[in-house]
Amino acid sequence: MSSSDTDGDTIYDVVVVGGGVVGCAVARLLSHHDLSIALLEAGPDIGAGTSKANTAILHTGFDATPGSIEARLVARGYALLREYAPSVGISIEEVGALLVAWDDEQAAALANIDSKAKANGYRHTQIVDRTTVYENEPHLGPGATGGMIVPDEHIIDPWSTPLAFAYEAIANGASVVVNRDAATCRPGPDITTITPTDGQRIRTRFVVNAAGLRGDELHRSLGLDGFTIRPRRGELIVFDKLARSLLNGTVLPVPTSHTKGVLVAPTVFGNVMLGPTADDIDDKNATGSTRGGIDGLIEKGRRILPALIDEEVTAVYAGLRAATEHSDYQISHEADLRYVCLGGIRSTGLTAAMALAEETLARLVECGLTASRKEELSAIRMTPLGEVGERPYQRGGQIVCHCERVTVGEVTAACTAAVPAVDFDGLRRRTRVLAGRCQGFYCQAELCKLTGWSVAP
Amino acid sequence: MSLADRSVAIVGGGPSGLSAAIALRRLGVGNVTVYEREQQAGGIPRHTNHLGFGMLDLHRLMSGPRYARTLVERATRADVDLRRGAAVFSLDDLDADAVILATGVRERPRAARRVPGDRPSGIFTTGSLQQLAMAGQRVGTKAVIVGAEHVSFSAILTLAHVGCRSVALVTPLPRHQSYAVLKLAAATARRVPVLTGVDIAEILGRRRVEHVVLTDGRTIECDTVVFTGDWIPDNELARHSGLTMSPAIKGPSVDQAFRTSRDGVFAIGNLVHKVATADRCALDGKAVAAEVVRSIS
Repeated sequence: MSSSDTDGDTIYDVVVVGGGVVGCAVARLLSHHDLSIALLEAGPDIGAGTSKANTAILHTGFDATPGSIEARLVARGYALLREYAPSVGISIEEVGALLVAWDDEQAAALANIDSKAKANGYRHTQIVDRTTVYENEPHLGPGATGGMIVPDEHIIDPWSTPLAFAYEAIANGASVVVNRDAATCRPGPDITTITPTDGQRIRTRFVVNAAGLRGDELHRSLGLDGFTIRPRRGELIVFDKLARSLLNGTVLPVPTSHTKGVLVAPTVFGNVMLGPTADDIDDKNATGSTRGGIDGLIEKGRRILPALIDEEVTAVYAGLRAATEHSDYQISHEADLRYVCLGGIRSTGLTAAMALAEETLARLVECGLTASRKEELSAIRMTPLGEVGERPYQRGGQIVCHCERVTVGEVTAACTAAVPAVDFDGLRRRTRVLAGRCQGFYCQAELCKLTGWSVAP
Repeated sequence: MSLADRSVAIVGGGPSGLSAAIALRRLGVGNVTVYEREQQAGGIPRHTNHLGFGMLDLHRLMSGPRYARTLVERATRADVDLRRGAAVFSLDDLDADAVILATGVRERPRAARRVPGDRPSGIFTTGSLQQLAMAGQRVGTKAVIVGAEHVSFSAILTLAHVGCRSVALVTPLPRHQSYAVLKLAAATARRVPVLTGVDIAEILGRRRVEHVVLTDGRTIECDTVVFTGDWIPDNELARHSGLTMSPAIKGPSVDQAFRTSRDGVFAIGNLVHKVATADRCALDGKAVAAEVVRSIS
């Protein structure tokens, strides 16, 4: 089954609630087994909530809290995704990271971070003096006192990742259903009944909660407690590709307990990203950027990489991390409810997603699921969107979006994909159209013609 | 070698590029190629469906599309090799005795102006608005226009044409500096309230624009926002080619003969002027031709 409707008579083995990067990774791994799987996404597209607005970094997990679930899953997820991404055509680049200390206190803290990295089993960190810092990143602003190199940090295409997971899940028989929430979830003795707002009931034996920002609501609807999601908003500014030459790798601040702080990172698409902010807020829909957020980032960016601020901004956006009152992921399972909860997966979710899928499968088995691996699996292939590697325009495809060099063929493919783009935002995440410096000045009308979509309300 | 054996490559098939091509052919240059990345040549005037074009160069007043067609026809008659759908990514790919960059200009979109708020649909530039209008697309019902340049008034006309009411024109400029637009607004029946000395503070709306908040705290209900003017040269090729850039214009620096910092590479039109009218850019094309001929003779 593709992304068509669920069949009322079907009793699924597992329903995954939430089509973010984590839910999609779980659906993908489950689809490799002899199981009937449905993934429910409340919104019109997968990967369109928290997963669409992140820093697009594949973390080694060097700075995670040693011994935490997050540390374990980030390290494992890093290894899995680093191998998976190139195998299916998700753009990924090993650019490395440089933690930069801007005062003596921060420089002194580097030793602690170094031991933390070693406690996490990561042994490639290297503390360096200020000369080496500037040799690595010559465009850094003045005042750096020292730094630490983390050579294995990667950048990755964050939009193709959940899409690839979902496409692969579908290719292996899973149903991916959009515009379908899990308003109520009632476990019976053998079967759990999920009733979405649209009333079309879905029956399943097992439920996986990957509902992100709404994960606590689903958790509580099952009579469980333990965590409350308090969204942490992160605003990000994306600079023009012409800024890419200012940076070799990711430039990280020395992290504090509250956040990793403001970083400057190249993207696989060739842009430079500045952010994120970290504001605890109450509204789970408040994905708008703010004057204070933008101005604050610009000010910090001016100190880190002064020339960056002279470049054009191509996007400003905000994402909500599913933060909780706890510092670690909130992962649990209830055998009698046949339920696994993946709560509080914060900004590291992209990196940890494939490890979270393994964790979920193990816990489902503990809850009584029998899962045997299929003998033959269907593979998928994405069209890489990054600057490294060949893109369709280089093979002579007719370009429709000149800023991002997207071809007509790529747009058509995105509209007929296993989970098709249904609006311009979805098309942007799948192809990069409208994501460039002109924001549709040249191509918006052409895209309307190609897709048949309207820009009218 | 005679001029008939010389070749000139022109990147960009808008008013300046086409005019340069026509002039070069008339001066006797044998091979003149225009590389236009769009499927149609003519540049921005193609979509500006009202009068105001051609006065300086063709000495008649015509609409944008008519002007663009006229230039394309003249180029074709002059045996210019006009290549459509031909994007140029590097000057090294061009085999010519001289290169003219005429890649034009675009309006800064919302993100480049760093306007905070939600990211709903319904946000345009005049450029995208006019192309949508030409394609027969409806855009919305109530628009706020940002900017007070000539093009801002063009946006008002286009919005009226597609049945979208302009509820306000907002500009941070004080009243005396937006005089030209005020005069234009007063000169027609389009009574659009012009709010001067105030800017857009925030755009709000879940899926679609619902309203804008101004810096003075006022809120305007609308489903469409059009960012006009605030031009920036399309300078990617110039910068990738390592040309010395003008920090003020953000296009390549040129001397009086339109020469850039790189030998044999010229730049004309709004790539170097930013806000000149189409016919003014066309005059550049005529003028650069003589300079190019001098350099390759």
